[in-house]
Amino acid sequence: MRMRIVRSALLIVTVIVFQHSILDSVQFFGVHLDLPLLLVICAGFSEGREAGAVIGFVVGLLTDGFLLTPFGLSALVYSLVGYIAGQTEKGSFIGPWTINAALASLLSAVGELGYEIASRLLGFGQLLHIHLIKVVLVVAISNAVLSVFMVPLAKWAFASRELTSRPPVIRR
Amino acid sequence: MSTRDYGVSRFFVRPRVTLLALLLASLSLVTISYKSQGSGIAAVFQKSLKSITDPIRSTANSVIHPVEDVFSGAFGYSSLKRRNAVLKNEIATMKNQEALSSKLESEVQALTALANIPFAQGLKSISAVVDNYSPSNTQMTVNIDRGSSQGVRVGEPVVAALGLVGRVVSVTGSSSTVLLISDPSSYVGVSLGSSNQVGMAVGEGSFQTIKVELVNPGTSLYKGEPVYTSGLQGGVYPPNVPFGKVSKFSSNPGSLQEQVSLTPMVDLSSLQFVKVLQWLPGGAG
Repeated sequence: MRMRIVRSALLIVTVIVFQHSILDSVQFFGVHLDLPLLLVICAGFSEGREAGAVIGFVVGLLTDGFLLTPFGLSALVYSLVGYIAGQTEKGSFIGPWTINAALASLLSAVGELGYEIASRLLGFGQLLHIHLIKVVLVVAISNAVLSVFMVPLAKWAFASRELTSRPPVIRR
Repeated sequence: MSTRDYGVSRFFVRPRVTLLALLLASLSLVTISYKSQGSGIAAVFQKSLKSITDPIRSTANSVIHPVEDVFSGAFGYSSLKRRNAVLKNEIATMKNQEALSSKLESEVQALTALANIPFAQGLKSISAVVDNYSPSNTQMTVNIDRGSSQGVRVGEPVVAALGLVGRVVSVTGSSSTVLLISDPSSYVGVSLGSSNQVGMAVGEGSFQTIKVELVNPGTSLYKGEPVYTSGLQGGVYPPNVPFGKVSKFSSNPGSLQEQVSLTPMVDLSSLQFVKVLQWLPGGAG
């Protein structure tokens, strides 16, 4: 259990730092990649809706630490996305990587749109501007590609191996 | 009733309760943050979080900066190319400005030196700008932007800050032509500094070398010895105007004169500002 927490913290911090150090200066068509959102989605895939929501909340809070939007906004959106991701996959990796990629892409689009709508409701940003379409498309496509790497990472970090690795009990 | 109870209890399963709790917590944070407008508990938490993550970020930045450069170079190539072009343009502009500034500085220095020439004191003079070198390969002249309307007359000597340049050979209303001392048709009476030995400096068609004729053999000379105008030769040039420095000398056995070569004091190949001394042959200034 303790190692699971360490692994989870390590992955979350690494992704946040990576996002705000390297990916801050990397843009595709003027759009940044969104690894924290992908991490939340993959956490939902890995551990189900409850863990997805909790991890989404934590990652969201950390992300909010770097943004000027109201604190808690990312946490709100990421919690919902993590929950939906866990709901979709029922907490297990049942699909091949193509299905995971498609779902990650769809949920990334939902996450970006959700964030835009939430920030618009709070008076930040401009809803349905042309850049939003680019943002949604780029993040959806890039997260679909990156999910190939992030899904195994999330599985390594978040999966409760203590339970899964226990040998089956044979009863007579 | 029991069915309804069953539905409510099904809705409040743990994941949904957790989600609701998290959403409520998020909304509370958003509300607090929104109301406090950058201060309060949310801001303190945000600052604390930044203070914790900033060292990690800065360390990561310093470690992975080269990787970042690779990413930027790979994915932002066109943007980098554009920025590079803009920067190159800016550098070229700055270089031009620097060159212009140093040119102006050198011009100011040249003018200051010309205004304070230590020779030909007491003579009236007309300052002029050299605006053109002769296009001919056989004639070493320059045009200056002062002519008869400014008082320039044919035969007047022309000097630069360091010494003699030549004499006016033709004048129009607003410009004049100056025959340089390096022209093969130029003859200038000179005296050698240490021995007061006189001679005749004749141009050789080169900006660098002028030969001196009629110097007695065995005259004591040394390399770098200054040579001045003698004021003889019918007073074509005023006396004691710096002319050149001895660059080479030799004496052949049986020769009737010393072989002496001079380097002009003035760099005749890059004249900018000159003075026309109001001195006419015979000293009728």
